[in-house]
Amino acid sequence: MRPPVMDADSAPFWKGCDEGRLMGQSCEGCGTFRWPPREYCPSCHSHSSRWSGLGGTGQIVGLVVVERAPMPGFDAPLPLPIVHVELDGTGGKMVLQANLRSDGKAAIGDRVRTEFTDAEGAQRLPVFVLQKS
Amino acid sequence: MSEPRFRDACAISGIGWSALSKASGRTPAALATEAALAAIADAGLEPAEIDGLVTLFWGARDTPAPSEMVAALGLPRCRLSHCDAGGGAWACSAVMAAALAVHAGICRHVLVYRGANMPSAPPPSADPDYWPSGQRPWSEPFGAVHAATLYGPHVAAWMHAHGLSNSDFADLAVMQRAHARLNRKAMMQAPMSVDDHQQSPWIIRPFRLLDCSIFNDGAMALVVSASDAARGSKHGVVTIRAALGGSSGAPVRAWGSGDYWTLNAEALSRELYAQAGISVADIDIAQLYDPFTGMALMHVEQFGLAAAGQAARAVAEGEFGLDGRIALNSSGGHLSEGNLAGLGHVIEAVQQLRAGGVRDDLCDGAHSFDRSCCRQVRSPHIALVAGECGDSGLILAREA
Ligand SMILES: [Zn+2]
Repeated sequence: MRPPVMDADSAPFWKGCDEGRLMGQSCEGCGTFRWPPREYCPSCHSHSSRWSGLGGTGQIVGLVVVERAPMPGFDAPLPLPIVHVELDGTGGKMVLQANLRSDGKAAIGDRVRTEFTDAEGAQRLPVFVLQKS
Repeated sequence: MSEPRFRDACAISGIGWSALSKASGRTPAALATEAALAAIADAGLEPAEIDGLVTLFWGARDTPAPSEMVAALGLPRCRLSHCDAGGGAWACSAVMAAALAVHAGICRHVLVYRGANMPSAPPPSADPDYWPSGQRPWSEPFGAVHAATLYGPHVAAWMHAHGLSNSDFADLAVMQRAHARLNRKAMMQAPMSVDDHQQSPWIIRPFRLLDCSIFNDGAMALVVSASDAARGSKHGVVTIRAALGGSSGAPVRAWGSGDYWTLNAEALSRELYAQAGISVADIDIAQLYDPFTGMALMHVEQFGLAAAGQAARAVAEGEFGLDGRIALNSSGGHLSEGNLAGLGHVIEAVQQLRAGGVRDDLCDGAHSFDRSCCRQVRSPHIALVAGECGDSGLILAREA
């Protein structure tokens, strides 16, 4: 699995992942969650924001299952489900897209929680796990 | 909203293409030059009369830059060299840019072109490091860089909302293949059945192999001129009645706003039809961007050609065949003709609207409308062409 592209906007998010915490950025001007992370709020254009820990739970709003390597060098085990998750407590504004650790039986509407990969020396990545109801 | 004075002021006066293949063995510049010379000749022009160039920017190894084409075509003067970075929405947007330059009186004849060796020399956009930051790396997470991971989740949400499954995509793939078999330049000529579609391997669910756009080498080009300059052509005049470009900023209008499958198409189509002074009932043919069957069906619904959740059923009932209510993707589209990121959709609309109709079906002489050899739609007057996600669109018209 390739590490994500990291930049100044997203650095606090990835630092949080390394610490095992899912971090979200909200606007100090209008309170709206910013996703993806960025310096200026697209709603009120405020430059101020705060990062806070999220609960990491949410609901699947979109999904695909990769059955065939999409490009050379793609080394994740297949089939690989990728889900889009609307995270709780973000006013529907933070939809995180990440791999799902599962047997591929997930469906839109399913509830998930966030865990983090733990490969030696590598950037930890968020990964979703189905919540048993 | 643009002024009505833009309406029908410009025309697509010439079209051309190279062979489409899996491995051309030629440079993108050679392919683009072949398509450009064909389009220029088709417009009844000399290369030196081209004074503007518009192409797609999708990485350095993709299509030759305008400066390369000025040199390749030996143009004495070039007054517009514009690269559209709109991806699958670039083609309609590029035609609009060309028409605006002509309408403004800055250029006389603008060439819109793309030449690429997609499978034999893939562009750097296939490399995730090519996307420095912003939304895109988050959309295709952790190395799964593929249009199906970008759009598939939204298609899956739309399928879930309407109770659709992959088998609902089969009829569109089969119909477009049937159209391609009446198109001599189409890559895919083998017959396809619903069963073939359902037996094809999964690539990225919800898409099987036969749900996906093909990937090819080749080039296409067209010329935009003032409608006045195009009058007298043996092809008649195919005007640009309305055009819109732009971007919604994301596959869906914005993450976290409303449903998860509404593309820019809904908003753009309303403006486009108003600009053209038409309603959906006036549309005779539609060439809608088809990276995947499911995306094409979403475009059908969000451009208002079928009710929400009903596009697949309408295809199955024949509403979008060559003799249906609206002929859809009559060339075979990206699924079966070939992929120049939407330029082929524009060219097919022009061919269908021309006086002589399409010139690369299997008819000898006059069109027979016999669907074993003829893909010409019966006297179409208005065409809708749509870029990916409805981030761009054209209404083209056959001048009476
Ligand atoms: Zn704000």
